[in-house]
Amino acid sequence: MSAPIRVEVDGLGKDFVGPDGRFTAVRDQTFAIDGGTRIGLIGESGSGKSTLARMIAGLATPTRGTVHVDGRDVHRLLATRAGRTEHWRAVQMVAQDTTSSFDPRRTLRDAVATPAVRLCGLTTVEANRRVDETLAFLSLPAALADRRPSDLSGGQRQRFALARALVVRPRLLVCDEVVSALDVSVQGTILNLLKNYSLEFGAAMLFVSHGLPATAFVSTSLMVMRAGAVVESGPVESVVTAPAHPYTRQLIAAYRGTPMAVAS
Amino acid sequence: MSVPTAVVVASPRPRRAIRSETTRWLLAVPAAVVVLVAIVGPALAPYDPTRVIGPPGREPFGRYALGTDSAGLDVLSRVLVATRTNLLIALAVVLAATLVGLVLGAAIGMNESRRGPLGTLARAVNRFVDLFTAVPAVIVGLVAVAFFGGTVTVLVVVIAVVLAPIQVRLVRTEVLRVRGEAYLEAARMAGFSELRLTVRHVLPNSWGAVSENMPVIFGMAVVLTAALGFIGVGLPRPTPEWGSMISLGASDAATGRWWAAAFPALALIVTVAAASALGTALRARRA
Repeated sequence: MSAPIRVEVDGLGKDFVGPDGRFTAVRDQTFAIDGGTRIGLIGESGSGKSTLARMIAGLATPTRGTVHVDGRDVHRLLATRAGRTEHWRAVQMVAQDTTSSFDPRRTLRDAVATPAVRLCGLTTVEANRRVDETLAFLSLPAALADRRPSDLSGGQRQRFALARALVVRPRLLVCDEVVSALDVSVQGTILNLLKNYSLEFGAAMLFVSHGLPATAFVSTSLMVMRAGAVVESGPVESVVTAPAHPYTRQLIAAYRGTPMAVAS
Repeated sequence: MSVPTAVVVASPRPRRAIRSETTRWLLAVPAAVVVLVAIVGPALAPYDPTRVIGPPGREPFGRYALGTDSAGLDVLSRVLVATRTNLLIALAVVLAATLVGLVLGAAIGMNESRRGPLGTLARAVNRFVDLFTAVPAVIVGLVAVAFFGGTVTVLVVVIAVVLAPIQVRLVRTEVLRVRGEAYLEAARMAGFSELRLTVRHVLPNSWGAVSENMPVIFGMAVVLTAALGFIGVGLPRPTPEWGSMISLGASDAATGRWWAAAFPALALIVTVAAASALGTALRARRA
């Protein structure tokens, strides 16, 4: 198990300029993520969850504020090759889109092995061994790795996307709606895998979703987001059983009485 | 009494996709034949294409297979040798225009939505490329040849400069499509720089459309080379070249001696049609 990560988000905000003028997607948020914690970021569509997650991962540039990983400014780190290697070895993100998440011209093994070679400095043989270990962890047959992405189902592709992120053993895994497009049985499998990874490797996780049951199952704490700001945060049980903010109450009430009972 | 009438509206017949592998190969045959003529043609030429070998204006299908022109040069020998010249110029133009297209198109496509000086530069180059497509090719050719002389290199550079914006715009469009794909973010997270991921992922995934357009550029290059030759700013006479041969033979055609212009014109038409058929075959492969 590697050293636990420390992520500090300080006054992080993002504006987009569109045809209707300036739009604030994320309003200056400040919080921290520590190693081993699994934060569920929940909220309605357009609340700014994905933008916040992408800025933390280093895939979007903030308009205001900073993200520090282990005390180092992420967006400065990404300006150099050595910095990129260091950052992406620690932080990986998996997104919802499984159809275009792999280069159609390359095999899945190539896609999964490349980060292991480039970021962990492994030889091709070592990287292939690491790929096989990761695929075994995700219950994926190694033979599938030699296929092209179009040969696989959405669920299999999503697990390969997870494999590509987990192959470098990141200390923070950012998941953006990773199970939203999948059927319920596949969702369960992937949620268990994510939780197992965090427990086994002591990795922190930022799990972005608009579905409360899945988020509550995976996470140790919840952050509820609305209109670009976190309106409530705390351990899963306290947020679910005693929500303080009216929007959180509304969100939880929406699940009451449905077959999908809120998991604790 | 009113008579019920029916209005018959002809619906456009949808173009059928070419699905048969055999059809695709057959479409490539004319291009293969033209290339073969360019390779072996000069060796098969019965006479020196630049020397007077007989009386002027001799009819075809006699002693001289395709007759002689008004200067007494053998038309068959000239058409065969010109095939190699015109094809080589067009091929060099296609390669140069595509290379420029890949470099500039990728640079514009990957940077035009950036903020800062790089984005501004990319947008400015894009506008310049758009502007350049409005400049008539023949005018550029006239000016360039007047300045630098009519050599193969000058012709290739001039025609490539005129046709490159088409490839630039096509590459840019493809890059804009590929740029939004999620696997590019995955490549960034594997530590690739923007340049490396452009070479590794963006260009290979843009290549299909660009390669399919190469026969179109080829056809245009053949026509432009001949057009410049026709107006007398191409290769110096008596170098065998279809455009200048058509130009020289056109005045004879008015007096009934049609062959000096007709055969190079036929070679030109067949070459352009063969390139077009090859383009169709390439597009059908991906459809």
